Amino acid sequence: MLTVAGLAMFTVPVFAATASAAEIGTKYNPDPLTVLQTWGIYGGTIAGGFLIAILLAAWSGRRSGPTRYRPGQAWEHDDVWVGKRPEEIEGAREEKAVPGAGGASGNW
Amino acid sequence: MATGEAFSPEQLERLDRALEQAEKHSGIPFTLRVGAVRGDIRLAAERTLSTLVGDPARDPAVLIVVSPGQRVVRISTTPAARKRISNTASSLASLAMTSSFSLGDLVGGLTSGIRQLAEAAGPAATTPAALRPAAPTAAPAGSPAPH
Repeated sequence: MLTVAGLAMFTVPVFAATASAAEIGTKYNPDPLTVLQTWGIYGGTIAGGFLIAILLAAWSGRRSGPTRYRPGQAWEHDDVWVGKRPEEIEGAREEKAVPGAGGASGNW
Repeated sequence: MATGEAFSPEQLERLDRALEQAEKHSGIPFTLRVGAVRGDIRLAAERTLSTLVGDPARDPAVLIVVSPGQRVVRISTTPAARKRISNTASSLASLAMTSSFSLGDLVGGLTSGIRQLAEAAGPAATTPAALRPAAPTAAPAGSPAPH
């Protein structure tokens, strides 16, 4: 979608300028395009479209906000708690071993 | 520590909803901690678990500790929760989590593991173990964690 919009932004003025040129020949005998015009329309349009798409992608990437954790990388964030944190529970409780506790461990 | 949160608000909401549904289904409070752990993760998890409930010997609770940097996960259950979530069930949930973690899906692994633990516990206050008053346990200290 952004690429199409970028291409349109670039091509519409180029085609409009070409069409509004004073001397374009007749309907049955149009003036030939110069080499520069040909490269500008057929090459410049494509290159410009790519350039605009790249710029838009880079711009939206910079606006994507703070760095999230990416799996496989080292953990460099604060601890994340979901559910009740020990600090949120009323009354200070001492950390101690829990006899008979169960569970399992795993690694990857 | 890096600036910014480790998870997006959407990811946190998914985790929050998974814990909420697990707690609603089983009646057991679930807590999740993701971050670096110093020392033995099993001991650290049990010590944290003891602070989450009034009486760790009688109250059910489940704590899931994940250390992405060390690539290790620990599911800790209080003795009361262990009656409903066996160590085998915890192992299976842990395996489900680590399978997703190894594919890079941290949040997906956690939500599926939490769901498995809640299903293993069964519905709240309908299992015989849940209806019985918790008796003082005579089990030896520590847990025979399969891993």
